[in-house]
Amino acid sequence: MANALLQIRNLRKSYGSHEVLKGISFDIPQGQIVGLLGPNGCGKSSMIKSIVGLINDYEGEILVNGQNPGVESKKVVAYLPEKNYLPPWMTPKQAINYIADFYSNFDKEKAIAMAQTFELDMKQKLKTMSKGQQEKLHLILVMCRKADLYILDEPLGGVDVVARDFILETILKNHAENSTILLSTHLIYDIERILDRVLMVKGGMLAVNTDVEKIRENGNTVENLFREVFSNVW
Amino acid sequence: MFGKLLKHDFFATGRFMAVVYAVFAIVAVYLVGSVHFSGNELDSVGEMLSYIALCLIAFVNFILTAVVVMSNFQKTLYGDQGYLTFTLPVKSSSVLLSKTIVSIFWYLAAFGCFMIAARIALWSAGEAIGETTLGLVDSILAMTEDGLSLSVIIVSVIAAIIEFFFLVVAFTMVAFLAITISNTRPFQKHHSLYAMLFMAVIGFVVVKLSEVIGKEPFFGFNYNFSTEKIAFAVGDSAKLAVAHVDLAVPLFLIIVSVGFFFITHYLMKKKINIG
Repeated sequence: MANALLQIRNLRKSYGSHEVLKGISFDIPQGQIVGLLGPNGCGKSSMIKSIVGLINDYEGEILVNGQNPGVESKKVVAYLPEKNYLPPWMTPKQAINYIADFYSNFDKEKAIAMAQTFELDMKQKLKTMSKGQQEKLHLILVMCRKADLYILDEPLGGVDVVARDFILETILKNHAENSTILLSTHLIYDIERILDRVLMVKGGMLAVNTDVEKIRENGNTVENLFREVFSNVW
Repeated sequence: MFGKLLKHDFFATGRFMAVVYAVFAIVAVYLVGSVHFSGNELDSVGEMLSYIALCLIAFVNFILTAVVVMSNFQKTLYGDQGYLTFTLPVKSSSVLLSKTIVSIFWYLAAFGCFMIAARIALWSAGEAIGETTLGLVDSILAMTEDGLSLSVIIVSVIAAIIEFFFLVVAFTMVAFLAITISNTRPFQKHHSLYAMLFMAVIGFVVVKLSEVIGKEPFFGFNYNFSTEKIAFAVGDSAKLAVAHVDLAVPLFLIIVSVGFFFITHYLMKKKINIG
């Protein structure tokens, strides 16, 4: 695919004798919002961790902007993990300074302004914050980077409907122009309207890789297609 | 970027260590001031308690340092914070080197703290019984009056300091390697238990090998001060002293440390799955 920002070729990953990724290949072009869908344990997180450089013992090839995962690719990838990755003693101010120190594409002023908009106390320690406040801070740290590729792992998990709308709105409003968003979730209904493309991973293999527009042209929805693909999983 | 890693590693570990050193400084100043102004006697409960506290902090500081450094290493690399550390646009070798330097700094600071505490304790005890105690320089000068060569003593002291430094480096690398192995897949579930086990095993092997190589008790940096060695060098030149400084153990420690650094880095990069 021309202008592919993310290229994955025959990606395989095993934990001991258990193979979680069984030779996945796909390209993601620039400027799209891509949904990475699949039930828990299908290999989504392992794929994401391989792309961002948290897992290195995979087979196959991953190219981000033509680079293997490493120092250069990490400069252009903004990653929001499923877990709280900040130390509990950190305050929003310290977290913003930390990220600003390492990423030249991080907009510190915008982050401070967003923290004020989200009514975060800049001196409050993370361990005393609510889950919602922590989510907001994580979102600020990721979305205030002018990245080429945003990888968001279950950003809507564990929050109520109102918070989900807020998170999606924040992502859409703040991602860099012409950037790509890879959004992993199993809450399809909430994200269907914003997706350009969907990837569905089933049993470590790519079951679906198609434009959302094509699904709609066939009179279907992403949610229904998901049901069809994974109907025999449960 | 490396400077930024160092800055943040110092900050993360220093938050706790700063409290320890602040308490140490307050107790030390109180004790010295109190003994000095109260007629040179440890006669009050406050003085006695601060005397005990000072010695206690100096000893416990080594354990605290080890706990802080190792838990920081575990949490920031292999815990949830690893998601942040390993997605930073820096080389993983820089991450490891930064943590190694910070660790060595805190152990050396703990040693410095111990030396200061020992000096104050000796001084205040000496003041209490009305006798003056000697400092290190005074002691060395006193030894030269007994006929020992100053150069021999200086070379021995420098050799001891160098050996202690490499002992600290080796200890740090043994700990980091043990923690890293304990976070590989077969041991991940009970990583704390395995980390201690691996530390004991690797440490034991290093001790035994250094005993064989150095033909001296393990990391015997004290041997440079031993009567036997110094007596042997009495009246001789610094050359003789240098000839009797055993470089085998420090060299072995350097090789072990560098080797463990690369093994840790390899495991960190290729064999650890975060989360």
